[in-house]
Amino acid sequence: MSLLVTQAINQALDEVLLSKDRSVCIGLGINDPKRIFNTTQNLVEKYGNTRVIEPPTSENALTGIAFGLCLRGYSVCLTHQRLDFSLLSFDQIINTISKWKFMFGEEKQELSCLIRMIVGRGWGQGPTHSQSYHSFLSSLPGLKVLYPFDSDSAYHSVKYGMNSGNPTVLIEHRWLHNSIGDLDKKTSKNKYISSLIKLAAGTSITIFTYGYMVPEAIKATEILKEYNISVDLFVAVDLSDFDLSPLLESLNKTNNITLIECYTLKCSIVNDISTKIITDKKTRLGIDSFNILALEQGHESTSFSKTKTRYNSYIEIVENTLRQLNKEQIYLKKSYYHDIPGEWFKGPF
Amino acid sequence: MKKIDSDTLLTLYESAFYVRTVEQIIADNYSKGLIRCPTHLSIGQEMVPALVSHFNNNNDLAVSTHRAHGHYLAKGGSLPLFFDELHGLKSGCSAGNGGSMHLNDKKVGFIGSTAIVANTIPVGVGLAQSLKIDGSNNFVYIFLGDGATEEGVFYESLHYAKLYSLPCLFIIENNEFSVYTPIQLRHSNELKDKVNGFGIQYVFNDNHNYRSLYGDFLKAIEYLRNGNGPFVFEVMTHRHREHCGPNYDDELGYREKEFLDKWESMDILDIFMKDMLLEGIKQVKISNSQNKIIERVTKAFEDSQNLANQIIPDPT
Repeated sequence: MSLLVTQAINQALDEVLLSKDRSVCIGLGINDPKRIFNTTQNLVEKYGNTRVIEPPTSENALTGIAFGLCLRGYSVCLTHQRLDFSLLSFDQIINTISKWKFMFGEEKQELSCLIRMIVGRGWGQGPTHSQSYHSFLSSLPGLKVLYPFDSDSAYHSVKYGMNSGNPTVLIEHRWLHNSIGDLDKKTSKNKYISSLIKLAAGTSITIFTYGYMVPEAIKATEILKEYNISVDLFVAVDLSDFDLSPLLESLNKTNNITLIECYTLKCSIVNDISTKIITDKKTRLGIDSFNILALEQGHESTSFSKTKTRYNSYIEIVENTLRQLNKEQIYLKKSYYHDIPGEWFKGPF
Repeated sequence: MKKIDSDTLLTLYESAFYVRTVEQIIADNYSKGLIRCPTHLSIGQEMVPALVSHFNNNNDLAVSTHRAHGHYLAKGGSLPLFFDELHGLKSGCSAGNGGSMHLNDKKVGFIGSTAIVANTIPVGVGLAQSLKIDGSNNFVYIFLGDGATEEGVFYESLHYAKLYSLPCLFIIENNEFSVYTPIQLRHSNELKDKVNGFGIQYVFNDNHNYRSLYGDFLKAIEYLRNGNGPFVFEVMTHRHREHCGPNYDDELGYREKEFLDKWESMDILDIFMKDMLLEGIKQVKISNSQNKIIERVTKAFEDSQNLANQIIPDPT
């Protein structure tokens, strides 16, 4: 069954609300006419406004309130239409949620608190609608940070956050909302947890990425294949914890690697992986090429013209890989509109 | 004013004396170096714990602040686990990870205290919302100090609790100082006006008028159990010691002598004692109660110190 990412999220929320009487969804816009980009469609009609709550604009209090519900056994999903607004609630996320189990010696306490943070890009999202502090959040002990890249990983990430007993942040990229994919409900429900996913097998180069850069990397992999370059492609959904050994083994085989970051490089997931590669005894002496793609350090402008080169796409991945492997460059036509994910996107945010 | 019978009066005194005795033994022994965490004592602020203890129901919940000892003990929190926590022992109520500022005892409904000002207020509101959804008639004590009423999340929480008519009893113990900074430098208008602005029931208590507060508790608890929404108590009180630690710090001069004298004359234990004697409660009965409390607290504290002694090297 093929679904949009938004439909997959909606389905996961619906299933949790149906299966658990003591579950609640809360967030600004959750019951408004647009239903958070359709992700909360039909929920209030099915489960009522006591469990699907349209709250006042109080991000910090809402986060504590959501957590208070969890402390009495409720599964709660709190949604922010942009990650930037969740910054008002970092006291609760950092000082309360991430450390509650530790602070009170209750490591086995079930606290299914899912915080959805939607990240914007393009169309003038600018300095306060496009920030993505997933790397920092993933550094917090006691908090699981999941960054899905398609319908299946989005569905399972929501289910994990609402069922696992572990406080979870879901980084949900706006540009992935309308991508379509299949749901696989049969394989392990924890298939994205604590592990890397291998999406393509190759011998020329190892590529790692996550989030909204995954579809770009898949497309780049397909193009490179036409030029006899095969990519060992690894992606992560669980940014808090993943076993890096498949990546290190791959690197020992290809001797070339590109790490692709979804945000700026400083204090990022990719920098963390770089350190692990450098300190890995088996790989540190044998690398032929090492490359990183990331956003340029600095705040994002709202300007169409000033953001033309800010983001990377499959084109940059292809160009960099060819350069990295000393291959002849090929010409790939860039879309004139760099600030939309596709023709479907007509704004406003 | 609600008439309080002599048995209740003795019970209130015993609760206040219990908290004072616990705090006093911590203060007396802090310099030994076995309690190695920031510790905010409730000495002088025992009136609210005494009343909370009297009205305690383990199914009512509570969250609190960095100065939580009195609230934890009033809810019936385990004394041995409390002392072990202060000593950083694995057997502590928070497995030694929390220390003085992070206490919990879920068995009695004390869900947690944390150190960041106003941090647990919305958590308490969330607990209250869960009770409401469950159809329970229990409520949540949300303890805070006057400093926390300056935080935005306090007002977000009041607003939310009122909007959804949640069973929250906000108890603000106003000791007039945020560490060393007096309330006059921090507040532009009365808290009463702000709370009333939300349409929330508000009670002000001054001069350690426990009889008045007793009646207010009766009224508020009935109001909360009947699902009428939140209630706020602002209770003027006084901490005798420094903001954090076992000592007096009056030599710093941040509190006027008249202010200190006023509150010295209104020590809640003295008030209870005077009233008990007026009620005809025999001194020997009071002494017996005191001795039992002292014995219990001393035993629990010594047990904990003995455990800590085995782990923490003697600094000498």
